[in-house]
This record gives sequence, structure tokens and C-alpha cells, in this order.
Amino acid sequence: MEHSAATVSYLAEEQLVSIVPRQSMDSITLIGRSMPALRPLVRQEVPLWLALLLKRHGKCSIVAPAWLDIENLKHIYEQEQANRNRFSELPEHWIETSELLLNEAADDISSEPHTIRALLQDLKEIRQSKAREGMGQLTSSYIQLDNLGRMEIHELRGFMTGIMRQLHKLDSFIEQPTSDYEDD
Amino acid sequence: MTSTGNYYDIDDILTDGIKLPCTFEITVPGLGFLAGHNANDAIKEGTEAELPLWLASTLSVSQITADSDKTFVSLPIPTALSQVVMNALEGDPMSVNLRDQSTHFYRFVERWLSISDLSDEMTLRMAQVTSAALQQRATSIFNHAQNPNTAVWDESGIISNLDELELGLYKIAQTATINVRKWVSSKKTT
Repeated sequence: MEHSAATVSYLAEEQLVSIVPRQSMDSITLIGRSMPALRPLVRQEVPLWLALLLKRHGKCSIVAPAWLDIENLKHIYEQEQANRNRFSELPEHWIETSELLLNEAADDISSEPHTIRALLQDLKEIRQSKAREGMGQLTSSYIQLDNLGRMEIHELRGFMTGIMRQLHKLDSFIEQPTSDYEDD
Repeated sequence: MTSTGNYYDIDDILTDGIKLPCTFEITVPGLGFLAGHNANDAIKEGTEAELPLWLASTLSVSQITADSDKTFVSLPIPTALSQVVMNALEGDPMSVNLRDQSTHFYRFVERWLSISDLSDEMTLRMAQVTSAALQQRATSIFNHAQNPNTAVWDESGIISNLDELELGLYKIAQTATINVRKWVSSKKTT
């Protein structure tokens, strides 16, 4: 398997989040990118992995991303219910990010982390059930996955591509005259 | 198109080995053993013998002489791909036990189509019905794979009615789901 859930989560930790440091730290030059110098109470953008690392040591608090908010999540959930045929917009890494932040920085995210968790769970479930319905509309060449997050795609990918590959082989016999391309 | 195959693909090899009842159209000397006779006997015209797919498919498409319509063997539609099975698949795809028909049902269909006349309505229908059936079965299989309880007991008997392709994909879907769950719980404990 090319990607495990841990890999997907690792990729999510590369995205930038805002933090409010409690201590100073000099800038660090790494191969990928440089970490900015931190001054107490001056907001900075750092990769999620660094934010979590500092948070674990009590050296910063993390600013919750705008979308990870009770009102916004409620709104998105309503959208999901209203449009049965499409997924509403959420960041690519919404599952991984929310999971990591709620586990390690719940106090920074919201005064009601349980409400947020419940909302996220509802969202996951309604979207999963949509994805399952969508499975019935799979064709050999087309599948609509707009706005699905990495983790959601991770759960679907292997199965879907396998089915599509076989459908493609079978369908190539049905549309003989037009198939002037070779498969594989 | 006729060879879908990868030399080292075990599923391809197993598909090649599926036995098909064929009728010899001509008398061939020295092949008596195929019909269970003495090796020195000839196999007579009209004799039925079970040949593996790889051999039957070649013999059923090669003409005896360049200008003859006759092929070495005639190959009736095998039971696994018969109209009865196609009708059932069209009616309720999940009700058919594909594994009982063939452990490599979809590959079998594919191979059959590759040696058949595609302008024939029955052949075309076989391709359409099989494709539609797979599409519909996919939903049930995926639901089943994502549900951790049914996965253990298989009360509905779904797993035992999947062909090898479906079973493989079922495992892939199940592994991915378990993988995500494990990741979620690993984050919780830290």
C-alpha cells in the first residue's frame, strides 16, 4: 500500500498554523524551510508539527483555524444535508488537522471540544455515506471526488481504482468501434 | 487485446486453467487421451472433451485451413457465463454467488469476450450485464468492508459469494478502513 493513514497525517503536519509563542526562540534553518524566530506573544505561522511540539512543552498556544469553529461546522453540516449530491468545502487535511489539534491542543481550540468532536464525527459519517452512495455511480472513467479530504480519499482509493480498472476492461468490449487506444 | 495477461500473474494462470467443455469438429490422430482413451487412438469428430481455457480458446478461433470456416473445436457458452447466470445478475447482482460460477469470474468473462464475436447480441449483453453487475456489487462490497462487525462474522454470506477480484478489493477497502481507525486511536493515547 503506497500511503498509510500515518503518511497522510504526516503530510498534514507540513501545513502552516498560527501560534502565539510564550518564549523566544531563534530562527532555525532546515533543509525544507526555515523556522521563523519567535518572540513571546507575537503571532507567527509555523508548520503544524512544530506547533504541536512547542505546545507539548507548554511553549505556545495554537490559534484555531477559522474553519474549526462550532458555528462554521454546523453550517457545513447543514450544507451537507441540503446537497445530497456533492461534498461541501472543507480543507484538504480537515480530518487529520482536527484530530491532531483536538488531541493535543483542545484547550486552545474551543471551550467545548466535545461539541466540536461530535460535529466532526457527524460530518465524517454523512460524507462517508455519500461516498458509498456515489460508489453505485462509478464508471470506468469518471468519479466525482471534489472537496474530499486526503484521509477520506485514502479510505476509498484502493477499492475504487480496482473496480474502475475492471469496469474499464469490460467496457472496452462494449465500445469496440471507438476504442482505438490500448489499455495498460 | 486477446491476451490480457501478465506472465507471472497467478490469477491469470488460474484463469487459463479453467476447464471448458468443447466438441472436436474434426478427427485428430493421437489425441485420444484428451477424451480418456488410449494415447494412440485418434480423437474423433464430435467427441466432447474438457480443455483448459488457454488451449480451447486458441483451437476455437483457429481455422482448419485458411479458406475454411471450420475451427478445430466448437465452444458452447460455459455454464458459468450462461444466459441463466446473466439473467440472475441482471435481476439482483448480489444474489448470485459468483464464486460458485468461477473463482475468477470477471477475468473469465473478459477472456471469453476476447475470443467471441462482439457483434453477437448475446456476447454484447454479457459484457454489459457483467459491467453493470460489478458496478452495483461494488456498493455492497464496500459497505460490508467498512462495517467492522459484519467483517468478522459474514452472517449475510456476502464474502463467500465474491470472486477473487472482489475479494481482493474487499480486503483492500477493509485494510484502509482499519488503517485509518488505528491511526485515530494511536493519536488518542499519546
